[in-house]
Order: sequence, then structure tokens, then C-alpha cells
Amino acid sequence: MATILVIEDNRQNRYLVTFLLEREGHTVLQATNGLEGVALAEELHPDLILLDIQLPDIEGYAVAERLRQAPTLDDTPIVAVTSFAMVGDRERALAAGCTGYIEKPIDPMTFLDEVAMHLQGGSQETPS
Amino acid sequence: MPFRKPSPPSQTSSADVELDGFKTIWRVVVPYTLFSALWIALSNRALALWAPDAATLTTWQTFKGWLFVLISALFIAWRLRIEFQRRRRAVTALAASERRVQKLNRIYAVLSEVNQTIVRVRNPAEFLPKACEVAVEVGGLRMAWIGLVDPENGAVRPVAHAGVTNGYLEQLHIALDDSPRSKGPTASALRSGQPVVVDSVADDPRMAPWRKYALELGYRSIAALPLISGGAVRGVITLYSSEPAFFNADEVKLLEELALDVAFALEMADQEKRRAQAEERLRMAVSASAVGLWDWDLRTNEVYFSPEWKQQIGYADHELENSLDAWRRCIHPQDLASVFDASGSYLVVSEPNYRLEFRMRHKDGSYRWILAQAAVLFDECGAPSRILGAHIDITPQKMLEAELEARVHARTEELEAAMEKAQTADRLKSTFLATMSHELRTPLNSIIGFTGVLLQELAGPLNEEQKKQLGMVYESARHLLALINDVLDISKIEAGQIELKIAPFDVRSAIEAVLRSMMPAAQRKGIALSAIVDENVSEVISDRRRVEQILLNLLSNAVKFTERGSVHLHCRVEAPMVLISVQDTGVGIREEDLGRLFRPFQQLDEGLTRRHEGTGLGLAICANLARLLGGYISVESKWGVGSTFTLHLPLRPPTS
Repeated sequence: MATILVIEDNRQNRYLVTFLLEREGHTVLQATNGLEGVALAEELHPDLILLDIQLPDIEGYAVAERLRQAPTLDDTPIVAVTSFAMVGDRERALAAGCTGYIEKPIDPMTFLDEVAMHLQGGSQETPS
Repeated sequence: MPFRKPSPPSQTSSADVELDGFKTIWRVVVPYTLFSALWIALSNRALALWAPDAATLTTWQTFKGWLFVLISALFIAWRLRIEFQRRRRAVTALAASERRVQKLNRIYAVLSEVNQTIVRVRNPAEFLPKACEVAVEVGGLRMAWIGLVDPENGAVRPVAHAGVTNGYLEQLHIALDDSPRSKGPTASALRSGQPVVVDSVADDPRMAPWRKYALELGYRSIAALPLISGGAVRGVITLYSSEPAFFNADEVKLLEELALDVAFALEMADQEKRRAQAEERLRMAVSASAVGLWDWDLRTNEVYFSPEWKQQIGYADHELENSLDAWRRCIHPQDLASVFDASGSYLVVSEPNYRLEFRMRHKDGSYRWILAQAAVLFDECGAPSRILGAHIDITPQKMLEAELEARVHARTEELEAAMEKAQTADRLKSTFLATMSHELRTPLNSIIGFTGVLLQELAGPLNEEQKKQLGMVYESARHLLALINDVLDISKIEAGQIELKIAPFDVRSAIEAVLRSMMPAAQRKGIALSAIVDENVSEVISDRRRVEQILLNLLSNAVKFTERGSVHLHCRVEAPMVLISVQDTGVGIREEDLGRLFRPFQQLDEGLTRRHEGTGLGLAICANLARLLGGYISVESKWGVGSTFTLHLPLRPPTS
């Protein structure tokens, strides 16, 4: 079982993700904005970070970049979870250092599978 | 000069008469001498032969001398008589010949004086009376008049006369019909174009209508000569002599020359008049149009400026001298080089259209815009000799142009501002779209997520009714999300925010991928889904994801609207495009509905809307995407039979 950091400003979504992850037995850390997320990640070194892109303080891309700069977090999988589906968002997310990309709305069935895959270090995304 | 110099008539000189007298003497003396010589030689011998005896011989010898004197006297008398007769005849002939010569000489003098008059005096109103006057005074005629044909009614109108008329012309009343008044010499000459001579006014039947008064005025013979120019009879000159039979063949010949010269002068005068009129018209046109003319003699560098030329820049004719210097002074210093350069280059390369705009300083100090056009005249060696040009004051147009330019400038600035505003608005729109996308989808994502959790009973078991109702919530939320996604998609396309990823890809594999994802839906409806990709189809350079999106949409529409039958995809190359058509056996589209097919939110059949899932945005999105990719979508359909949608996609992007 893993420790997973969820950076998500929307309370309902945060709850949904937490519910599903905890139901699987994971330990869930919650951050409601980007800076808090960075601080928590640096402090607690989670096994996986689920990152919302549109955050109230700094953009998810910036968060990903900062996390990647932290020496202790350079190989932690970061999965962008967003409905922000403008063309190029996926590419931008990967370029900013994310290892994967899950599009909202979350399908409870596939979501956990994807999380498990990212925990194992696998990725269906390749930066282009 | 058309005036031929008539050769003077041949004349018998008085030297001939002297010679004749000398001959007469010889004609008497020579025969007498011969006769005398014969007498001396033969008379005695003849007498001797004839005389019967010596006495008779002696007697006859006495008489022989007397006989000689008698015979020779008779002989001389006879010779002299013949000679005197001959001489009288010769003198009479000489006198007649001299009279004829004098007459011809007079007419010759008339001809030459008239010619001089014609050359000197160009105006017919002056030279025609003068010609009549000369004919009467120099030619010794009784009367002469000239009548011209009135072009309107063909009547002859006397325009000039000289000599004794006493109102004769006023009662001429020449007719052109068939009456006796149309048979006179003037009318005949007019009709025939030939000279007409009346030798005896007293006897000629043609003179019947005018005979009495003509004889009273002392007219004894008449010659009428047509004035012919340009092949038409323009009038007649009619001459009256107090001598009967005055006009013989030689006179008429000379007078014909006279008529020819007068006619020619008339023609010249006409041409002169027409030329003067044309000139006057041109002058008036030039003056009215305010075109300034200039004429530059390149050999002497003399220039001429028309009064209008000077008036354009405010000067009266005398206030500005006609010189190149004056011209140079008036041209705007900045334009000076171009003006004289232009003249030079025009000369050098013979530009067909010399046309130049420049500024000239007005007398009041302001500058006027001038449009100059010119033409070069060349001398016989082909070297330019003169430039003729025209100036038009285009200052008003220039001012309008400037105003227009200012307006255009202002308008451009406005447009630029508007553009910037629009770009700002565009950025705002873009941000708005992104925000909306997030704000609308975030709560919807929660709804769908939680509904999913509940439906999968991850939060506890549900009864059947709860499952059914939650299923409906789930479906509705999904539909709403699709709708939002489509609206955002089309808004992005319309806002030009679609970024294309153009790269080479294999059409065949893209089609296979799309078919794979459509297969389950087709199978669920029991519809046969098939595809043929022609062998020559391979790679295209385009945005694979967008092409797939379009094909997926077309296929899902085809499956959606087909209740039974098949959906068939065919891909072929028609360079420079690749054509991918999706044919179904569905409901088809009415012809009147084809027009609004690609507009947003148009699902054609209201009834169908309920039966067929979809946002009504799919085709609009596809059409827009196809356009972005440089292609388009065409459709053929028959109501109740089926539809074929074809994506026409360029093999490579139009810009590359």
C-alpha cells in the first residue's frame, strides 16, 4: 500500500479520489493548492502524486516543475488529473515533468487500475 | 500652285508681211525677165520660120518691138493684179489674227490677274467680285457674274458680278426643272458640268426667256463655265460679250482654266474655313478646359506657353515671358530635377506616354499640382525637334487625394485599435473558454464520479430502483458533459484556438483504429460495418487525431441513423486529395435539409432527436475541422435510401 498525495482544490473531487484510494487501502495526503502540495511532497515524500492542473495559486504545470526540481522527488510519479483538455495540455503536462495523465471525469473502475500502474512505475504516456 | 500658266497664242508677226512684199517683187520681176530672155532668144527665129518672104519679115520685125511691149505690159499687169490680191488677203488675215491674239491676250491677262487675286485674297467674298471685275475690265467683257449652288435647294445664287447688269441678274430666275428658264447657258453648264457657249444672243433659241433684255443691255454672246471642285459643280461663272461669237474654242479653253482656278480657290477657302472653325473649336475647348499648352523647340530652346498655361499659375499672358528660365523658376525646387529628367528620358528612350505630376509655384506663392503630358515631334532625320505638351491643374484632385489619404490613415488607425481590441477580446474569450471548461466540468466530474462509485456499489449495495435512477443520473450527466465538450470544441475552432499537429501518418492504420472503436456499437445494432481502402492509399501529411475525430463522427452518425443494413467506408486517392466516404443505408436526408446539415445544433428530424443520442454539433465540428485541414466534407443523400458523407483531405497541407 502506498502513500499518495492528492493536490486538488475542489472539495468534492478531492473527497471522491480520497474515497476511492482509501478504499483500496492507500494512505492519502491532501493539499488544496499548489504551494501546499509542494511543501507536503517535499516533507513527506509520497509514492505518487495526483496533480490537478488548474489550482487557485499556481498552475499545476508549475507545481510539477518545482516537484521535479526537488532532489528527493525527481523519480516520484506525478499524474496530472484534469478536465483541462485544451489541445496541447497533455503535452504540456508531460513536458512539465508529469509521468501520466488521467482525464476527468474519473471512471471508478479504471481509475484505480491506472493509479496502480503508475505506482508500479509504468506509463502509457510518452512525451512527444 | 495649281494655277497653270496658259501658253500665249501663236501669232503672225509683221516681219512675215514684210517678207511677203519682198516676195511679190520677185514674183513679178523673175517671170518678166524669163519672158524677155525667151523673147530675145526665140522671137527672130520664130519670125524667120513663119514669114513667107523677106518683106513680110521686115514689116513684122518693125512691129515685133511693139508687140513685145504690149505683151509684157499685159503680163506685168496680170502678175501685179494677182500679187495685189494675195497681198490684200494676207493683210486682212493678219488683222483678224491680231484681233484674235489681242482677245486671247486679254483673256490670258484676266486669267493671270484672277490667279494673282486668288493667291492674294483668300476670302471668297472678296476674290469673287474681284474676279468678275477683272473679267470685265481686263477682258473687255460686257458683264460677268458668279453664281454658287445653294447646297440646300440646289438653286444658283448670284454672289458676285461686274459690268453692266441693270437688274439683269435679279430677273434671271434660273430654273432647274424642265421649263425654258432651265435651258439657258448657266443652267446648262450647271447641269452638264461642261462649258456652254451662246454665239448669238439674238438667234439662239436657248436665250428666249431673256433675249429682249439681254440685247437691250448689249449682250451679244455668252459663255457659261461650271466651277467644279471635288467632282461636283459648285457654281457657274457666266460671261457676256458685246460681240457676237466672241467665245471661240481657244477662249473657252482659257476660260475653263479660269473656272478651274476659281473653283479651286473656293475649295481652298472652304478648307480654310473648316480649319479655322476646327481651330476655333479647339481653342475654345482648350480655353474652357483650362488646359495649358506649351511648345518647346529643342533646337533653339525657344518655348511658347499658352495664356491658359500662365493662368494656371496666376499670371496674365504678358506677366511671364516665354522662356525655359521662367519655366524653371516656377517649378517646385524638389520637382525640378524630375521634370527635366523626365523630359530627357522621354527623349532618350521615347517613352510612349510622357506623363508627370509636379508642383508649380503660383503667383500668390502657393503651389499648384500640375499633370503634364507631352509628345515629341521628330525632324526629317529622326531627331527630336520639338516637344508639345499640355498642363492640367490637378490641385483639387490632389487635395481630395490627400484628404482621402488622411481619412484612410485615420480609418487604418481606428481599425488597428479595433483589431487590438478584438485581439484583447479574443484573448479574453480564450481565457473564458478555458475557465468555463474547467468550471462547468469540475462539478460535472464530481457528479459522474460519485454516480459511478454508487452504481458500482463501492459505497454500499443499492436496490434495483435506486440503480435504475442512478443510471439515469449517470447517463444525463454523461450527455451533458458531451454537450459541453462539443460546445467548447466548436467554440475553440471558431476562435481559431485549435492547434493542429501536422505529421505524416498511415491513413490505413487510422481507419483501422476508428473501425475498431466503432465495431461494438455496430454489432449491438446488428449493422454490417465494412471498409475498403484502395491499394495506392498510404501516407498523408495531416493531423491524425483530427482526421480520426472526423471519421469517428461520420461513422457514429452513420451507425446511429441506420436501423438496419450496412455502413461501408471506402478510401481512395484522387490526387491531390484522399477521399474517405462513409456510406450508410439509413434514413437519408431530404434535399431541402442538406443546406443546414453542417450548422450547429441542427439535428434534422425533431422526432429523431429524441431517439438519436447526440448533441447536433458533430457535423459542424467535422466540417470546421476538415476546413482547418485544408479539405471539406461533401454529402449525397436520398431520403429513405441512405447517405454518403465524404471527407476530402489534401494529401499534404495546402501551405507546404
